[in-house]
Amino acid sequence: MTAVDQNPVEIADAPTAPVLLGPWALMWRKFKRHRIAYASLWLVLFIYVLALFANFFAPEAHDETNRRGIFVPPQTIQFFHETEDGSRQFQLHVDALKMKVDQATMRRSYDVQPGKIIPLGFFVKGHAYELLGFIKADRHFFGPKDPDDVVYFLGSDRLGRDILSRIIVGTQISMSIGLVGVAVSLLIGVSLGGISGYYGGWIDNVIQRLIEFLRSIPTIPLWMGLAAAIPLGWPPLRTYFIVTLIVSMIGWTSLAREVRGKFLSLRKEDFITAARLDGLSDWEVIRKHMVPSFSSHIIASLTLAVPLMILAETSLSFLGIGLQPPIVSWGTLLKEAQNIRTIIEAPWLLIAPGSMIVIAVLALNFLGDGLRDAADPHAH
Amino acid sequence: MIRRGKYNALRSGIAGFALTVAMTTQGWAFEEAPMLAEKVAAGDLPPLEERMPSEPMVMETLDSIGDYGGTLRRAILGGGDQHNILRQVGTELLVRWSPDWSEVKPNIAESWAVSDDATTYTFKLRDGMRWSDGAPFTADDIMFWYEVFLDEKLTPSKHPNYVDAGGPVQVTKIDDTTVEFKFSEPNGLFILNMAYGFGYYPVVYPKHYLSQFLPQYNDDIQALIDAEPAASDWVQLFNLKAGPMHTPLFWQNPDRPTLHPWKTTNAYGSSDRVVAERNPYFWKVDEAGNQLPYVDRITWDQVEDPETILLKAFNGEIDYMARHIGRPSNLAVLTDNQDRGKYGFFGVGDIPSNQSILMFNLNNPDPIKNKIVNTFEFRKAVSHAVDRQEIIDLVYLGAGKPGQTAPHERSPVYNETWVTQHTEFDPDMSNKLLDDIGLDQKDGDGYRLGPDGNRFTLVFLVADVFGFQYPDVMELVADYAKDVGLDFQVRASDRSRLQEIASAGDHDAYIWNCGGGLADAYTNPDCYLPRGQAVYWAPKWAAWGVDNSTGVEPPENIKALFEAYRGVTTSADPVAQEAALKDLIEQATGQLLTIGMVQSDGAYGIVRNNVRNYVDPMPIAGQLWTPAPYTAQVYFEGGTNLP
Repeated sequence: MTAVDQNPVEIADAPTAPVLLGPWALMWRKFKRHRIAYASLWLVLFIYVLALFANFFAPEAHDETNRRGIFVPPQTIQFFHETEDGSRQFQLHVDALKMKVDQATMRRSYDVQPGKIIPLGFFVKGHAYELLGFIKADRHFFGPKDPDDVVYFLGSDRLGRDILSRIIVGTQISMSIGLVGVAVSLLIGVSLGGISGYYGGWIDNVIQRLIEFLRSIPTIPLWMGLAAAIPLGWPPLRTYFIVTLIVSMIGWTSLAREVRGKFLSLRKEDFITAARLDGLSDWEVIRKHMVPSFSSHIIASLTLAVPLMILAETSLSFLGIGLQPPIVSWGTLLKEAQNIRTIIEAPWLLIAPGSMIVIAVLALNFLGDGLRDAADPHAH
Repeated sequence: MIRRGKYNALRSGIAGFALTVAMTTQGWAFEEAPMLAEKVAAGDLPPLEERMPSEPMVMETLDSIGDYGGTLRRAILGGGDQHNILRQVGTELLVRWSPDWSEVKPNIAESWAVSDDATTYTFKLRDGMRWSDGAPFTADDIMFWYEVFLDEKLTPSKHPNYVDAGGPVQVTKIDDTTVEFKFSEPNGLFILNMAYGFGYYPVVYPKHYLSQFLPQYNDDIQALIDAEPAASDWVQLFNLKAGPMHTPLFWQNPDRPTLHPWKTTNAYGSSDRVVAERNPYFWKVDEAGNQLPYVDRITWDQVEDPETILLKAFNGEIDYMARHIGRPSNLAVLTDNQDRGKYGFFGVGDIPSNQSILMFNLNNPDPIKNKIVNTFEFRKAVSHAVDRQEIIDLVYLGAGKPGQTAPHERSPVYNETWVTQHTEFDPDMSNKLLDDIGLDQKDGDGYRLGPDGNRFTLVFLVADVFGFQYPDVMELVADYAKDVGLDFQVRASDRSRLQEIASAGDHDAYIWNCGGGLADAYTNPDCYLPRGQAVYWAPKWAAWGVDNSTGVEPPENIKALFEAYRGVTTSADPVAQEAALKDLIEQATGQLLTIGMVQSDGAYGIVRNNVRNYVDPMPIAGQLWTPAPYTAQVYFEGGTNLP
């Protein structure tokens, strides 16, 4: 951290020199005072840890179907269990369920099997997986002690798959690939918008006409062309990644316009003139003085783009280039839940991934908010 | 087979027009709907006797004589949902299937006769029958259709019903009410085909209306072309005004007179509600002499998606409907809301030869894949790798039976072996079969390698159609395949894109259903031999089958199928036809050309509690466009909708 470098060397017995903090350290200090933002930072980190070690945290295999577990409602964890001799004993468990089928409606319902429980524990053995893609493992953070038992903490879907595990595994895609698109848009938008606004003249003219050209391309025919051009043999995830990249290649235009406007007004400011007279190169002026002065705007538009991206995951599915089952992401989970049967029979299918998205988006928003407040030099 | 009796009667020859309506209507006092009686009294309509043919068709009563009145409410999706209207009002053909789909009966034609060699069919029309605008319907209208049909500009591709090896059928007008269809070779299926959906062509071309769009009838056609912004020449203009009935175009031209019980008054897609009003010139009566239809009008509210239809059903806003909502997964919620929506259920005999079929492209452009999928043992291995009962339990909630692509138990040509062979779930046998055909090398991930040393991968196209949850099925199948070392990649797509890719023949495999489960095996054996444009498991052989100079010449075992089916089409003898069909299916199912998974026992529809006279169970199929022609006698008890 730059703050450390600039601290004067401490000498024994010398009077304590006032601590000089660099801009990053100042930011961090201010950020930590923003409690919600600080908590959100940890939450976001937690979500990413969850994504990184998804199979370790998922109690069941996310694609394991179970014909005796269709639409099981969320099961609650219980702490005490009455043993056969009547004494109460601490044992994390859920009640064992028995499926009943109503022959007239083909509806499944579940009764508690009295006296039978499924004991739960930490670091239990379960389905085999590869941690981080290469370490073979079969231990899971939390789940049923007997690997043959199945529990549904957040309920199960129409094929008897565990929703909690699916949400955890879905985190991987929703919090990674989707964000790549946002990042690419940001990078292109800020650079081209910056160049356009800073230099003006013919460069500005060229870039603005390019933006107008891109904006005039009708999107649906473009997607259809893409759908036709992408080979069928490609795995869906690669298709989605490429499409996301292409979408962001033309999605940067509005941000670039905003950045350009900001640059046009900033470049006449005294502190920019001063920086230039100090001999800084154009690039340094942009990077060190201009971009930070409107980072708040960038962060806000960034965090707002994330939920849109998650909801847009499935929007191109009708052309075969969006995310679709069997890929698991928050977007596909939500899509599967968007029907009346689900809302009436299995509302947890909608509530669980929905709350997860709300939590993640709020956390990112608060985090962005805190970063902006901390980064904004005018916010005193 | 029940149909046989009828056939023998028909074969007695042209002389007697063996089938005539048993009941003559002379001396009857016809009754009409109050709303029409008012119009007659006001002088807006001619009296009933002048509007109906001298011998109206007497519809056999399903339950009871009905009450006039009420609006039958349904819902329709935007875009390509025209079958929603078509199947409700449009299936009024020269001949019709009986309500239980067992025999062909007179409809627009009051009788017909067939020559002994099954080449010549003569239809006798009803004297005095009229189009919905009051103009007479005669043999000239059918001849007008024939003129359009022969015109290469207007009908470049002709429907196979009306073509044989010698070219288009020859249609001749004998007199004003008699028309003859003559084929160059025996066509034993013609009457059956005319009772199925695509038999509609000859009876939807009102000459008095459509002839104005043809230059040979209208000297001043340029004025009409100029007035129509969507047409630049008379061919476009005519196609716009005279679109085929199974396309949206037909339902977007409300000016075109029809012979249907209700006439649409606005264009499908032009507003959020399509309305069809009673046709005052309709030519059917009930057994008491009341002119049909009973119900005043039918409305279709246009909605975004099937979920909205479900909600409307809960609220009692759907009177009679199976389309889009009658799926196993909706049964529980529909049962829950039965009291609120005041509806009950009726059976829908939607029985294909199989509900979910894995279809490999047997004309795969990739030579390695082509060789493997054309190996019988490979297909057998895949068939044994699939746990059909689990698919049924999970995806179809236990409804249906494991089975191959073959006629259903209720079919006249059912054979248990065809359905059950190679359906046991036996991964060990599957593994052994795959090892034995040379797919015995595996890569690090446990997938089998092809002969070229690369992983053997087949990409399955899947679309979420018909409510059969194909994506779910395919996900399970890919899992079973993985367990025996086969890499089945699943690519979801929408229906039209899938059809586009598959019709070009570029796909490896896909999942779909297939007709031919019941009596339609005679006319729709598309999964027993490569035939037709709607099934894509061997598109190049199918092209060869239509025209031997195109496509790819199939091997002997496939040519034998074409030969067997010729035995069905060219014979007029039902016994010989049945034997030929059984021979075809025996050969086809033995080769496991497609891998069927689930045979369904039908679906259901909902009907409001005071609706009467609907067909239950209602047979339906890809070609059998029901519930019409039986909708005209549906009625509301009390003459009005339940509140």
